[in-house]
Amino acid sequence: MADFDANNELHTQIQYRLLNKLSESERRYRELVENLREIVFKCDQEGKLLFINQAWTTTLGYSSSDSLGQPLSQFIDLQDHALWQSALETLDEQSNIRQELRFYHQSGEQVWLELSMSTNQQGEISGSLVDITASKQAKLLLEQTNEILEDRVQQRTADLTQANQELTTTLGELQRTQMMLLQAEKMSSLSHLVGGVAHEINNPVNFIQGNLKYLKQDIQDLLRFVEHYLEHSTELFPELQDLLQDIDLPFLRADLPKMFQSMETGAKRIHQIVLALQNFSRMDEVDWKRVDLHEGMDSTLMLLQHRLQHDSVGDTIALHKQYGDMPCVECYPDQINQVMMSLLLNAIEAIEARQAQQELPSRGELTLQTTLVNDQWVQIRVTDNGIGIPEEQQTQIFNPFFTTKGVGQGIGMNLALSYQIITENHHGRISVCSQPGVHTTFVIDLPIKRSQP
Amino acid sequence: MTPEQTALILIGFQNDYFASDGILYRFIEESSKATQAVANTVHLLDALAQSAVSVIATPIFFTANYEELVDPVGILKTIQEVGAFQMDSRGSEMITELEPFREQILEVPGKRGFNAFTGTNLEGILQQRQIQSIVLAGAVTSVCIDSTGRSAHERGYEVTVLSDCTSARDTFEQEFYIENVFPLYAQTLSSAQLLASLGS
Repeated sequence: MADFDANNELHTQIQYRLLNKLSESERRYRELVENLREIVFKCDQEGKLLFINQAWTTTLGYSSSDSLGQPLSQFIDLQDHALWQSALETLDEQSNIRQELRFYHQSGEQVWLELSMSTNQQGEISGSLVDITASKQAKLLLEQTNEILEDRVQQRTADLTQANQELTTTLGELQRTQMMLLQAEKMSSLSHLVGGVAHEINNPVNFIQGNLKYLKQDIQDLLRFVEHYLEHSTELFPELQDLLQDIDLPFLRADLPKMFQSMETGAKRIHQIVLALQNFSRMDEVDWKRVDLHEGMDSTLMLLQHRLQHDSVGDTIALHKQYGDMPCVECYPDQINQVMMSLLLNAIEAIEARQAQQELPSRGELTLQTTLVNDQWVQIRVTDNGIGIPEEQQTQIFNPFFTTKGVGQGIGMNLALSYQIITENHHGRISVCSQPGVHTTFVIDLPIKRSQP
Repeated sequence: MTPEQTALILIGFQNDYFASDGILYRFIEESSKATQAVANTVHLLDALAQSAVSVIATPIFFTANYEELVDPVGILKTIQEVGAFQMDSRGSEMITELEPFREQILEVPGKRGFNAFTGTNLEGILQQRQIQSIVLAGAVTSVCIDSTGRSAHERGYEVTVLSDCTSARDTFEQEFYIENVFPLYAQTLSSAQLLASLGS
């Protein structure tokens, strides 16, 4: 047995030396592994660490003695435990699992590691863990920077959009203001012209109208003289006899009163037209004034009378005035007249258009209606049975430059201006209701007293 | 394998190997941590407390001047050089984790080399107890465990090496012996498998 024991000891020494040689070789590989920057590990089937290289301590801070024998999951962030468990369950000999996992550094900081692992026949798991924290953080930083940039772009876009909207609004306001100014200037010029013409016509017409009765008296006196002369003369000179026959005195006597009557009627008509022109222009009434709206409407209607009596194709338009009992209204009279002119002209043109298409079953009807709504408001309604306004256009007709007329026939600002006058200048309301082929009604609500917005 | 005819031989469970301040602690640290050799052995002893299995420890220790060693080579030379396992030193004492089992453990002194049979009365005790199966635990796998195991095999014992109660110098060596060397003359089992085979 002593020989046995001696051999045994010898064999152990031999093995020990062999093992040392083998270990030396193993150590070389181990050194290679130990010097790797990446973590190299080995686990049992349950995930308990059997081997880790130095990079483990360098990367995560834990010593190998504290880590060996511990489950790898103990070092994995709780959020990623399910991923690790899933990787363990899906691992087989053919596959190599790759997974990004968050680990806890000993200091408590989070470390991103990219896991790569495989298993052998014995079920042991070996793999590597590469620190990707820097690239993750860079990626995160990039994402954050992108988000910030996107936010900035969105903000800038929003700012630009807002600025664009403001510019569009401003442009619209400028266009409207420009149009208002143009129209105001045009109306002002027109008013001046109309007012001036009316004034110039008024004086000679007054001369004519004022002298007519004296002229009539003078002529009657002359006729009386002639008649007396003829009555008391026994014989006329032949030249006078011839002249008397030429002038046909009996006819003259009978025709003169008719002629005077006609001239008086004409002069009176001219006087009325001049009054209407003056009323429409209201050159001296640029400020608020309490007026009888009906007077202004009548003046406007008088200016349009020729359009009502005979239109282009010989039809007539029946005018129905349904004036309610209402008080004077505080307003800019010239502006309201202008609105009435626009609405009435539109109504006449709509009827004419329908007449031209020979679609009107009966004659044209134009109704001008006024109502006292309550002690604060009055309402004016202008209704016609013209061609009407298609529904899709009803929301646009008050827009500046919107017109259904041909090029050169209208600039599409009358209703826009009317809208401006009623809503902004008078704080009233204007709307339209149209059933094409049946009727169209413009409704104006005006405050009786001047109101503030 | 019956408990009555089985002896668990504890080799090298001494402070110089397994205590954190042991002189040769670093020598086996990696492998012992990996196999959890001490914890598993404690658990095994606990499980065997009421069984008929003999538990024997064969501590190694030397006189202060290592006069027992003549021209030592290898690990024995290292032991002498670093002054490990000196008689009556703390390093040569049984580790504290096994203290609770002291009454259960029969300590057999005299081991001076790798083989626990050499210089000890181990064989006599085994024969007296009619032991047929030897189960080995402790350190160092490649040296004392293997030497003792082969010696037991040569003496006709059925040898078992516990894979999770032994420790080599590193995991590579541990795995190499468990997988390639011990199967030549012994069976390798985990402590749980051993308990199962003993019916505990």
